[in-house]
Amino acid sequence: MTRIATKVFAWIVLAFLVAPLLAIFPLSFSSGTILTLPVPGYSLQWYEEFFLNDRWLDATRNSFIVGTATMVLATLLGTTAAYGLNMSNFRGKQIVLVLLSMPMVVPLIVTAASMFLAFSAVGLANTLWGLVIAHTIIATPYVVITVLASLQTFDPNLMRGALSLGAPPVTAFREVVLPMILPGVAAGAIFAFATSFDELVIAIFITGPGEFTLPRQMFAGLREFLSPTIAAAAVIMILLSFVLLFVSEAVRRRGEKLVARRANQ
Amino acid sequence: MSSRTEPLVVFDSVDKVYEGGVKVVDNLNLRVEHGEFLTLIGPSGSGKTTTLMMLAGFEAPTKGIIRFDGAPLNDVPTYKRDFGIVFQNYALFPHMTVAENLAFPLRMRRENKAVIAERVRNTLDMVKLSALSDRMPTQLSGGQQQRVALARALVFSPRMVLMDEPLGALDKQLREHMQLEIKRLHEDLGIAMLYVTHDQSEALTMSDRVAVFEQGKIQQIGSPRDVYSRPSNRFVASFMGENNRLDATVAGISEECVTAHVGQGGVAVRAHAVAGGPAAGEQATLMVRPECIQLFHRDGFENNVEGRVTDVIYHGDHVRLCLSVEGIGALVARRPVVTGEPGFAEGDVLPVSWSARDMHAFTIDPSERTEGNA
Amino acid sequence: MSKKSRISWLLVAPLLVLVTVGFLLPIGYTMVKAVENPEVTAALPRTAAVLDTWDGEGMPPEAAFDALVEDIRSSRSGLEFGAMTRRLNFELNGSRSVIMKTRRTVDALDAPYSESLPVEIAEWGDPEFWRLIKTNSNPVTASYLLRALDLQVTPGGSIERVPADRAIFLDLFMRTFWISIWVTVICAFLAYPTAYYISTLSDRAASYAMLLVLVPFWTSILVRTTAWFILLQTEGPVNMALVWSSIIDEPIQLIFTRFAVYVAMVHVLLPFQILPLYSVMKRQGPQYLRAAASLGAPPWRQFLSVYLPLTLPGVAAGAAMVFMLSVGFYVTPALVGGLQDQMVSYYIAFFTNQSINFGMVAALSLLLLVFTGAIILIAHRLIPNVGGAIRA
Repeated sequence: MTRIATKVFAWIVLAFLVAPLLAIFPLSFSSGTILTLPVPGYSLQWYEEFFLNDRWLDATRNSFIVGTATMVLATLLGTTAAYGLNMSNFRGKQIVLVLLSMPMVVPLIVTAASMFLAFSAVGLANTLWGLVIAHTIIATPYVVITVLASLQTFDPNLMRGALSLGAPPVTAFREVVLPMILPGVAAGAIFAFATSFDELVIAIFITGPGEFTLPRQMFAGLREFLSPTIAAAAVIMILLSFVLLFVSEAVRRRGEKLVARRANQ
Repeated sequence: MSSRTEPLVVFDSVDKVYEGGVKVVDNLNLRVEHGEFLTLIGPSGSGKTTTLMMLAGFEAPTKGIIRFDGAPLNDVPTYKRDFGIVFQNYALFPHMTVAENLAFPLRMRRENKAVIAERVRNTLDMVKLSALSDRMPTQLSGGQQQRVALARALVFSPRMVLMDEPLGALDKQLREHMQLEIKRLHEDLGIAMLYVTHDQSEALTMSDRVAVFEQGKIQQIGSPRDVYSRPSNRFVASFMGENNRLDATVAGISEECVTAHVGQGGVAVRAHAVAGGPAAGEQATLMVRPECIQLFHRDGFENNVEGRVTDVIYHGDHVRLCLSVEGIGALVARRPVVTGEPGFAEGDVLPVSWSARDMHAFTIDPSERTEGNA
Repeated sequence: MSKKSRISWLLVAPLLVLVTVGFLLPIGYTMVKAVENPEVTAALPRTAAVLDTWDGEGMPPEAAFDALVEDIRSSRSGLEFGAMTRRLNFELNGSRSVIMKTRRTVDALDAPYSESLPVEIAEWGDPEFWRLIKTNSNPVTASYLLRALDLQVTPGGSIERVPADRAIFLDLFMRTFWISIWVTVICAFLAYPTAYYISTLSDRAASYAMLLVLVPFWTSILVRTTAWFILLQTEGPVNMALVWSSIIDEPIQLIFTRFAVYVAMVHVLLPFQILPLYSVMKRQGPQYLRAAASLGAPPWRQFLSVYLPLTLPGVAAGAAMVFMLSVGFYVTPALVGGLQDQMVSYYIAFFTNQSINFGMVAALSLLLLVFTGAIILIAHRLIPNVGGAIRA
């Protein structure tokens, strides 16, 4: 009895989680102009609208530029920092860890408002660079976490082995450490990209219409006029999230296999 | 380049203090001769692995100088030291095949492809692994991985080989086989090897010399025979092999012979005197190995008593007899099992004897006086 | 410092510099802004200097009037002037029009101004108004922080509650707190049986079920809020469905209500509760329950005495996360809530983008930060593994 009740309850909750996302799909293909179900007929007009409208296209392009730049910067900075953190128990390490995790703990709205005030003072507000810096700061802690996790399963003797065989430290890192921690690095990179691509609050504060990202453009659209184009944009973002989720799961599986293989030794 | 008069490696007054103030190596002076097989042995935390790590360049000495071929080594980074190192868990690169693992040090030295291929092949032949060159390390057995690790440490003709408990993960039979194989390679190649282990039989089987470490210091260094049969202090005696330990009071010393009373005024026994040993009237620990205790009386032996067998423990190739000796206490004797020889039984009363040369008298710390026999 | 430590520092340094310069400094700068008070002194430097020597008793000296007229006549920077009027108006409603009127009449005035100015504009004959200017010539002020707690300084210098019609912030903080508590409780209530059910499935079935959690988790908050925004419209699919199934006769107001805020926030934050719970439950083998059963515990005792205590850390970790996130939530309530459903973050955005008042932005941010910090500390005290997210 309890078992069946739990099962029904769980499936209702799971349905609650995905149903709103699924409901968006038919709406985005509606041939009508009002967002309601059932749709009067199907058409691609709202996707056409999306792909023929400069504002949506510019926003999409900005999102990809900022997302990619954030991913590259966050992965580089996060991986080197994680390696440094993993390497030794230096004095002040605990304080550094606390400082580096601050961007995850401080409410995003506070971060956004503070960055707006400070970035305005130095001319970084309303620039894509400003947004890249802001996104890098909030995304890098996740890279540090994933890379640290994979470094902790890495046998430090492999690095020593490479050094003893004549590899200078940088070569040893590239040839031995990097291939082993690559799943962690890749997972961090994907997460950094997704963080930037989905981020809205900071974008609201520090971008002007010229630097609108896709979420920022959707937000503006929602406040002006609720057109089914927004549903189309939402579907596009859902699909992209799905792709990112799929890639990151694949990377995680690969990483687990690697760890499992090493554990069998 | 090397002058043969100079030892290959010299540790000159080397200290290693870890953060937090733990001194793991204390004023170490150690020489490794050309072509020598030197084993560092000691309990964990004795400083033997740290010594190897300092020579490898993974740890920097806090004080003192390490010289190789006369030149200071302290500031030379690991990758320029040219030492082949075999790690406890082998540290084979899991994303490279066996051949790629072996080629790695040669690639780092920018050898051309043909040279690399040939040397990888020759080295794999040497360790009898040619058939496995395209396998991944995870597809190999423990013993095969061990050989790959050895081959990888040798393939680039290093100036010296360092091994950190390389056989620790293998089962007993394989370990004994590999001991002989490493010894053979050492003889064939004539290269100096520094070997760290906590297994005394390994140390005794393979080494030219053995250095016994404790608390960051070398307690004794010498040939395996010396270290085993003429231990210079109580620690070395008890760490290397088994012992009967007797607490005693020294009555007198003459020439090389110590006379002591077991316990408080017990039977007088005779032991071999060592430099820095106990003086007359002092407390002492007497040690004699179980295999040195004979079960017959012999004229040349200084110590002759009688013992009653309290227990017989069968070990396959030998038996251990627990004996109770009046005025001494419990003694353990070890006898080989010889076909046709009559066995021993509980309650037998047997003659028991040992030579004073096989019994060593060591000083005792006042704090340890209450300790019983081991 | 050992060589390794030096290399560690070197590798950590670039990120540390970025986080310090791009994050910690801006936050510090904002915190300073919460008490900084430069506007009046910048626009009325001479007046501020003279009032500095005035004891605040009776009318200020003639020199103060001279300085004021001089300051206003020579003020050509509209930016500084505007900032000053906004600043004074924030402290005392109506100050703005006084200053603007003064600016218009000042050119036509004759000395002595202590007589001519109060004739034209009565406020200048009131020592209270002068004291307002004197108080706000001080380089630091507590007014923003006080205001964020619905308090204000009277011209006499004592602290009092603001009039009820302007007292919004205490309500706002309480509302933020209670909405977050309810969202946390609802999430925990929904997540526990769900995570439990998934943890009892076979690996394969569980990974499909988890996909239903992970897909929303990876979808941006905005997209999920947008979905609810569309679904809850008065002509939207939810209303249509309710009407069609005859539960209601005509569409009801769903969007811009507290109900919409709860539904959307729970939807957005639920995965944060399910994921840690699931990982804790998955690690619980059946052996403890079997042991409890073999020791004679009936099912409800097995659950209460064994399973619940073992899985409580998962609830705690998820709940702390959900609560922390909801306290700072902006996008979801801003889109699907009405004005009465907004939380602290809405006013931070409001003071930044609409009513430009960086002092209030800073004060509200500081209080929200302290609020969040307190929650993390409490959570950390209760469950040691929450809060410090990066662990080496």
